[in-house]
Amino acid sequence: MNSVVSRVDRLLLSKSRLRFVGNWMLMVSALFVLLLFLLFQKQEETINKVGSWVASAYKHSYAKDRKKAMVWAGSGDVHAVIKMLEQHDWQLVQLGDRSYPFKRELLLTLCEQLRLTQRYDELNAWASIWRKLEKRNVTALAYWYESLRHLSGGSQEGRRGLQREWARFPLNSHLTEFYAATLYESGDIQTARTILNQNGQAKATASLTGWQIHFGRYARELLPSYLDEFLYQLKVMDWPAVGGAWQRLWREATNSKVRRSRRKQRKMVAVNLQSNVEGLFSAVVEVPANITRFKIVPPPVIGLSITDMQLSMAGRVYNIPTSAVTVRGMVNHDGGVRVINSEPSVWFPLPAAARRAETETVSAELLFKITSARLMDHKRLSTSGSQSQ
Amino acid sequence: MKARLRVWFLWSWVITLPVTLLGGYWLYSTLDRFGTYNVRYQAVGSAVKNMALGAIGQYESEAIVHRVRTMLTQITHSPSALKAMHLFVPEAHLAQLQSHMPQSGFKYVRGRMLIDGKLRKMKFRYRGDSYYRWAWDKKSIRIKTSKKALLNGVRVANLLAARTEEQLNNYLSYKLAKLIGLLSPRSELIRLFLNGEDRGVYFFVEQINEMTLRHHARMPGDIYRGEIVAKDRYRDSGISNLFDSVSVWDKVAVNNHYPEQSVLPMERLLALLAQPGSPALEENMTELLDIEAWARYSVYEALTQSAHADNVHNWRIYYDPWRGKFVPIVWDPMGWRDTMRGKKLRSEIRASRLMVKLFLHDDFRRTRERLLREFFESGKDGEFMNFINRTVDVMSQEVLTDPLLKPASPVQVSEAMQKLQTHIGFVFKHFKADVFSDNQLLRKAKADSIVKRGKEKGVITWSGDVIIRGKQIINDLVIEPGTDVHMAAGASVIIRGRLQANGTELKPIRFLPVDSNSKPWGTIALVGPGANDSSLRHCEMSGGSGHKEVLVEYSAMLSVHDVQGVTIADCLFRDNRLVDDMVHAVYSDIRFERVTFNNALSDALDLDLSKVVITDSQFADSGNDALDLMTTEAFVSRSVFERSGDKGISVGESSDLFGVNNRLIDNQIGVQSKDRSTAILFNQSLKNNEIALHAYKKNWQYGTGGTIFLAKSIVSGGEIAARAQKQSQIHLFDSFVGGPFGGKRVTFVDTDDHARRDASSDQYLPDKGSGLAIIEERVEHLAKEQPAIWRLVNPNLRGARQFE
Repeated sequence: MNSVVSRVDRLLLSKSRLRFVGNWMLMVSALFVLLLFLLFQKQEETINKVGSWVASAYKHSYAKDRKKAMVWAGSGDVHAVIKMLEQHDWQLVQLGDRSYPFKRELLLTLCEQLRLTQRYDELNAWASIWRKLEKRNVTALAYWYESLRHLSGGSQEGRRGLQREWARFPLNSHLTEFYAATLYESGDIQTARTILNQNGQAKATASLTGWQIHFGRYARELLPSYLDEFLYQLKVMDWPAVGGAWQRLWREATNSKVRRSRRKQRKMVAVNLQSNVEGLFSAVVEVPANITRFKIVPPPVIGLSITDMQLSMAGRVYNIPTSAVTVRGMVNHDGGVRVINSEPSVWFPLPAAARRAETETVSAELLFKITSARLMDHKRLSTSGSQSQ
Repeated sequence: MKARLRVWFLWSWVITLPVTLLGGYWLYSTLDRFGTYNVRYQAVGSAVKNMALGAIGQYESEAIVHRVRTMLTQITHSPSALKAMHLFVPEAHLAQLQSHMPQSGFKYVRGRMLIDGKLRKMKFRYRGDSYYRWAWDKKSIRIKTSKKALLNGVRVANLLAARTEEQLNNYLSYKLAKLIGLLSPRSELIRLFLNGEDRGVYFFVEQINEMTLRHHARMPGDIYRGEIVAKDRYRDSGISNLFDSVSVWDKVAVNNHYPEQSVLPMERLLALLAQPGSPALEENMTELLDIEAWARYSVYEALTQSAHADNVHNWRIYYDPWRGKFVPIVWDPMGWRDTMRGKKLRSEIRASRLMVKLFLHDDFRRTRERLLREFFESGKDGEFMNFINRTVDVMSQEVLTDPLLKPASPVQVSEAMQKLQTHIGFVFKHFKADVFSDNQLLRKAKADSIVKRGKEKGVITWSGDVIIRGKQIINDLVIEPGTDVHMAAGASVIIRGRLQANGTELKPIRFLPVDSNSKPWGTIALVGPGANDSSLRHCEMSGGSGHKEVLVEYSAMLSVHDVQGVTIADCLFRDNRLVDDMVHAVYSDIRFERVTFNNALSDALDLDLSKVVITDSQFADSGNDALDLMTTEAFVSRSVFERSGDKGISVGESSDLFGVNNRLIDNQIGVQSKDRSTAILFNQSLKNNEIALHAYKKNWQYGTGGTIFLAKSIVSGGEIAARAQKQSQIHLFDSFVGGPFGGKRVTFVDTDDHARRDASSDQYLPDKGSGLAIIEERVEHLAKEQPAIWRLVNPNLRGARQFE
């Protein structure tokens, strides 16, 4: 170690050697930035991939934290969740940030836990923080008024707030539930039941309209099938076919024209649902036969569940298990998927057998069951109602 | 060779050092921007592509090259032709804005700006929902001046960075809106300097609020704002369409006659839109929407090919409480953007539920076709194309020296602007050809031949004794001489057609309470253009009040809303009750001749945004003001104002009064002028008023106070003859003024305290150079406008003569 230091010292003590080192360093740096610059110019796609990777790595670190926190919350360790949210990096997360959806989810979970354990002071503090972050989040508003209702000196304002905001946003489950609870506590069980029913009906109506079905060709499904074909040809040693399969695979993976054409082919249709005699809801769409994926965007009705998904194409019916679907803004729940925020979507790849149609277009029918979550107090109110009668 | 290599190597730093520095700067900027706007902040929509690492690297390298280029260009290039705006914000405050972009950028910081050559306080922040507003070096800004120093009458303004390479979409869109006659924000291109540093071309746009209404001569009222995207979205509300629920609309201006939370007009509108199409719906829409304004808006949307006001954003809708109608306000239209990028040209833009419903409306369609035809027939298309031509010429020069231009290529931007110009020409040509095509003319002929549905207008005649109970809505009405209209308590008559209530001296028409003990009746209201040219002669009205409904208010015993050519002669109005005004007119044109106003509860005659001529009339014992003007042009002659509880004549909120031969006696204040108003008075006699003349600034929204010019007059008695407060002035010329003065802003020319009636000279106005250029200009205009009244001015005498 000492010898290295003394060698560096000697090197730097000599003026010409210093110039030599300096020039070398500058040359390397200049080459480095030039190289980077060229990469940005000539390999933009690669650079973008690096960028995407950095962004997803950033997101992943928060996702890990969130996962841990959800486990803590599940086991009732609210303190650990609070401690995490009070950490500097989590405090910096604001509405619009990549990691904000995690923070929102944690805040929702935390508020619900604090409510269930009747820690209303803390609930009020955290609901206030949430409201400041998201002025137009109706659920945050609901928790805030609900906490206020239980604090001394704030009960009137809390009750009035819940009443006023429920009148504005009757579709919000939390507001409905909290407002119904205030009515229930004040003895107005009939009205409480009515608003819960109204909410149920409104949700049921909202659940039937505004669905979107997206469909198209995606590399994620195409590439594995081309790869399979390539490997199969390799295995049977049909060399001309190997060449063809490789070409197709390469073209699909790298050709920007092909990529653009895939994007162009993607379409969306808006549908309203109607149920059939079996209680299944269906949406029929005419799609190109070569599509690889369906995406369903349900209306943003929190608690709406989709179960028993099926796809009927070219006379065959395929069951779509929840293990085959990918969701956003939804969670797996009770054998189906359930909407948890206002940007829900669920997508699944077309079963391989369904991609073998011989016509250019084919009629596809998506079938599934939908149910709206019942509010927690509904049962309690129904019981009370029947008792009071 | 070796030695040469050695020399080359030793001197290589000349190249490698700048490359490293420049490259290092480029790399740092790229990573910093990428880290802020794509890693930490969630890029959505088009940001995913435009804020990708590669795209940012590209942007940064082009920006560096462009900055060097503009530094060189600025040396040789002439200075900007655009209006310069200088803002000064401490670096620490700018750093605060940058600390956690974009969120930290939306909190105001304090700064200063140059307004009329003086450094004035202002607040500064970034603005916008999307990355293109704040993610690049040229950021869109919002400024808010202090109430004391407005910027051309605007307090809150946006300085927008261009969103597209053609730069001018919104600017030209707003200019077209103005040309077409729509409510739209004030806008202009400016050159921004921040802390002395040139930030390039910005687009100044007024923020829509109550002041916008005042700029467009509209009464204050609710302006609804509809935005439910990005940070304006109501999460978990279950509402994804603005027209589904009134709860997602908020107000940016409030009608203070109703509670702030009241959204009843909007509720009514949304309820209408939820109904299926039917003749009843059409009728109700006509009631609630200014069909002409909406048709104009639709023409505008087509001409700009703007579908930017859709079911989720960009709505600003004004509810005019005095007309009871909704009117659109143009906001962020981004004209021609989509069609320039390959979207098909559409003859009809139906981007929202509201517009879809309007297209089912026969009258709307007819009006729309007429307005579109008129646009081309009047040559406005050519006028606008010329304007674009001039703007593009100016901008082509400006972008050469714009250091933060995006895209950072003046050539590319200039070409894009040319392309936009050509594209607009193409759109206009398309519509012009369509409008004047045989098919269209045939359709027009058919449309005109459709018999308008609805009730036929019948003329109702009243004579003898008529008893009115409740609210009655009537079309054309004739009231015979000698008729007594007995109004029950709370009864009101809303007349939407022409009223002819022409009594005679011997057989007057009287509107009276049912009996002397009954509670006050409501209002007689003339409403809308259908009532144009109505007349009331030899009528007497007493014991009425007003009428307030959910959507409309009638604030006087006789209310005139949006009616032109009304004549009221030889009438008597007296003893109104409960409600502020005895007679109120808004958006109207009225003539009062020989009318007496006695014993008004508060204001005797209240005029808003109207034009009025008052001659030979008497105002006595008004509880508050005898004549109250707001944004009104009034000509008053040979009239008497006496014993008013407050002002004889109140000239406020950008009004113009021209008075000749009037007497103002025993009022609290004789004439008061405020808030950018001007009172020009000749041959007045002001006697025993506590304050004879008063000028001041009351409402900051008008930016300045009032002006009074009094000539050839007599001011006597009372405590103060003239008082002018801040930003106001009073000029006295060739008058006898007895009494003390308040304030420094009173000027005197040939004024004396000799109680003589003869004028010092026969000059109408003081000599030139006495700083009264504006008064001279106004007098000239008024003399032209009302020559009969101008002829009443006697330059040789002081005071009102005809009464003696």
